[in-house]
Amino acid sequence: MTRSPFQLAMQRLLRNRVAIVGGLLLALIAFGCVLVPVLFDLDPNLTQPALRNQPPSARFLFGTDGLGRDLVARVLVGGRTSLLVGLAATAVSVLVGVAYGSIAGFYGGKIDEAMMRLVDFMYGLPYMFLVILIMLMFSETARGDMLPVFLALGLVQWLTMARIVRGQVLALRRQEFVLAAELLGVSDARLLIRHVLPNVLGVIMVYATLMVPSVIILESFLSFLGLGVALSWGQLVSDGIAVINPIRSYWWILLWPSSFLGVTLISLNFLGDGLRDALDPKGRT
Amino acid sequence: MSDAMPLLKVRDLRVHFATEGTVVRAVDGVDLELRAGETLALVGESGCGKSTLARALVGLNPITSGSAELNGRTITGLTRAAARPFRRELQLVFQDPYASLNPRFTIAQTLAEPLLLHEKANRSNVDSKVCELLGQVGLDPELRARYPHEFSGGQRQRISIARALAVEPSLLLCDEVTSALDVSIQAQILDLLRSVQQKLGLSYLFITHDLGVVRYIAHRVAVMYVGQIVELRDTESLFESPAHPYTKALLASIPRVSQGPQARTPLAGEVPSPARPPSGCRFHPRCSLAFERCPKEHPDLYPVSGGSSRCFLSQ
Amino acid sequence: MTPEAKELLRIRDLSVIFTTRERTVRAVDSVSFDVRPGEVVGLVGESGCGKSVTSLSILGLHEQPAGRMTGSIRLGERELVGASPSALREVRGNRVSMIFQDPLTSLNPYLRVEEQLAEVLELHLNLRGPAARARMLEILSQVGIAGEERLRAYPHQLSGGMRQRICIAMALLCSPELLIADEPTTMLDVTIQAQILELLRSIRKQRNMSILFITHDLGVVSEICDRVIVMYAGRIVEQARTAELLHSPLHPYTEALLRSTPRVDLPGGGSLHPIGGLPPRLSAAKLQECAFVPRCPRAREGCKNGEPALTSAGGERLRRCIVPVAEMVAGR
Repeated sequence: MTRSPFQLAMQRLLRNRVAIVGGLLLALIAFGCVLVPVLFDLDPNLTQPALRNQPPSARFLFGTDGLGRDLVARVLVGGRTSLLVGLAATAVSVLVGVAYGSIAGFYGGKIDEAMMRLVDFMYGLPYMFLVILIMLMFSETARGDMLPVFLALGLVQWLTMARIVRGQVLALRRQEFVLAAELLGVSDARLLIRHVLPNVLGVIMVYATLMVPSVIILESFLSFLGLGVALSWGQLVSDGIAVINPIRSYWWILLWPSSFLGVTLISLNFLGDGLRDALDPKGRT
Repeated sequence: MSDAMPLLKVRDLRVHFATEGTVVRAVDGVDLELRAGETLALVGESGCGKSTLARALVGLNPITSGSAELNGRTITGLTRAAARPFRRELQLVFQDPYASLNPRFTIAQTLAEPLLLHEKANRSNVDSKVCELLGQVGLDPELRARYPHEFSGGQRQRISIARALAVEPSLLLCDEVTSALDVSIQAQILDLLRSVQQKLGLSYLFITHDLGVVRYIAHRVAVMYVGQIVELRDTESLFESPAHPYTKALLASIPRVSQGPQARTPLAGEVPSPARPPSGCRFHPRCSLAFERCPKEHPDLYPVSGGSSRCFLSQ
Repeated sequence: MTPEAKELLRIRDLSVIFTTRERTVRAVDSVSFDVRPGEVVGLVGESGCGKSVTSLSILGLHEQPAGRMTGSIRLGERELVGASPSALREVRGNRVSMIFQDPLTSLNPYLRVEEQLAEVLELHLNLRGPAARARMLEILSQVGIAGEERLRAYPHQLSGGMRQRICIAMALLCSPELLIADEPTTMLDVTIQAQILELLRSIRKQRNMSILFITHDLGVVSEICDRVIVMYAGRIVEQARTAELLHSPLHPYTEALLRSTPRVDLPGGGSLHPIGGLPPRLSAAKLQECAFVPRCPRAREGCKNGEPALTSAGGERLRRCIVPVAEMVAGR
């Protein structure tokens, strides 16, 4: 039975228990965040001051926060944001980075030099400063939205992806099967899209998977600075920390969002590692 | 084999690479001719320039000066677009069977690509053409839906050869195509190349370091040393009575099955780097027959029976 | 086996089994042979025949996950199969040394030559400082490298032939009784190969050192080996003195190998007879027939009745084939 390299890689991935566990946890969390609030009609913004700062109970599984809002609802709906921001920002950086990096790597020479100089320059700029600047360009109200955040995050993350893709493409460009196709008269576009990129796809997938947790953390960090999205795990953690004090600790306000955040990040890392091992079991590439 | 016009004519070809302040003279003034249906072997040790020469002929290396003509038309110094029509006539088969096939293409896809690109087949008959090609190289057409990783090294070389043959070239450059294969598999591939040549009238420029293979498959031999041809002879003439001292030393160094240990002194010294070729005759530092003229003057190729030799002793 | 010359290396029934998730492979199957002091034994075969795995087994150098070794490898009085890592480390580089195919990857690219040699001297001979330096220069001149500058060089600054000489020098530092050479000249130019073979021959003579020489090149075997062992599919199929084996092979595989090698000394390269088919896929199962049957030009009915045993063919000759000797030599 003939199996393509991709199918073989998927087989290897499925044998990796740690990666599978990560994948399942992610699926569970995603499912929870997307569907549970709908199924159970949960409202993250319903304030009930009389019920504020309640510890976990039968009614409020995760407890309530300072405004009496149900934390289950907040964590799950906030999760939607964090995951979406993570995925969207990663998608933006993948698209831009792959396009940019593959052109630089494919043509090499002066084109590559010029393009990578730009990347080097941008790398040198203080990252957070850039992000904050971008955020400040949006009006006060727009700032709580997702769009500015994931634009800001994606547009800086693409640099790493561009570098990685450029390196892979540069190396593959000189591989004999690509040269053979070139010698047969295959056009540049087809060489890049049909011959080179499919063999870089694996690496892209791995780095994309490992980029998502990065982005989620960055978003959380922005939330600490008050620049994040209105309702996300980062924001919730920020809220949770604010109420930690030695006298009276509402630990549940911090615990749930940070656990969800942590588990998601670890799962993404397991999955990413598993993908890397599945795609390149001998540590080559 | 005595056609009026040679298929391939190479004149004073030079390929120099400039790196870190030195110039590497990888190919430094090569002249050769190849006729239709002929196999010319390019032999030599590391740094002699044989692979660089082959890659320059197909445009993978830029040419510094000199020219090459295929069927009377110049194929050097062309833009990518202008070179395209010649892609059909001149193909290269690589050494490493594990790197020369796209791991994500099935064999059918790999072979269909050139067929469709050069209009040797259309969508409706490409599959039967692919089967035909596989049959030509001795592989079962049933295997065409498989991926390269499911084949052995020898089988992959057959597929690479099939891919090259798909565009119906007149000249095939074989760059150490059997060097990575086991001896028994090498013999299979050599046989295949010979039979394909007989059937299709192809010419081969066969690059190798293995003189046994040369004697088996080549009609003529060009021995290269530090970027230049030092001897160009009919195969049997070269092996029976080598003219150039380097050729003699090369032949003497080869371990032979028929005799026991050879009581001879091996050729001393290292193979010079093409970045710093010796003055005058490039072989003189290692040559047991060198005399005063050798380090000072650079010898041309002087005619000897069956070919020519770049040695003052042949003048 | 002549009784006076006591064997230096005695391998009996060595089997090496590699287990991966996908399959189990018996890379070496019940291999037995000896190496006597001062003898050069060639281990010949094509890829996958088990020659490299056999040689790596002697020093326990298998890739992890390690192959499971059964059988016995005795170096003098010492048993090496199942020996502790510290016992093996004491033998490696000391009584038994090894050189490999690619001299570039055998040397640490970040260390100068002198640093690499110093490591061995310190570890096994407890030599440092000027005494170590003197020994280094001595050994380098023995392998034909003159000059102190070479000591300060990094591997990438040296040619392939030079690097292999350095590897040989490293291997000789502790005056080993046995040198295992795994395809040491395969990656070298022909003229350099001739130099290295000459070097090995002279070293062997000077020190009465044994060499286990692994190669696929029958020409090289002819140049340097006293005795040859031919392997196929993990097992020994023929064993004989070199001249006997090359002029009068008694196993169809050896014969076919010789006939499929292009001959530089015969007009037209001699006539080439390729061996059809592919090398066998090794599995863990015991063979039900001779491993060479699918490709053997002399195969007959009896060949499928289980694997033939290794039998004597006079003197020290061994062969694993049921075709009568008379038939093999007829018409030669």
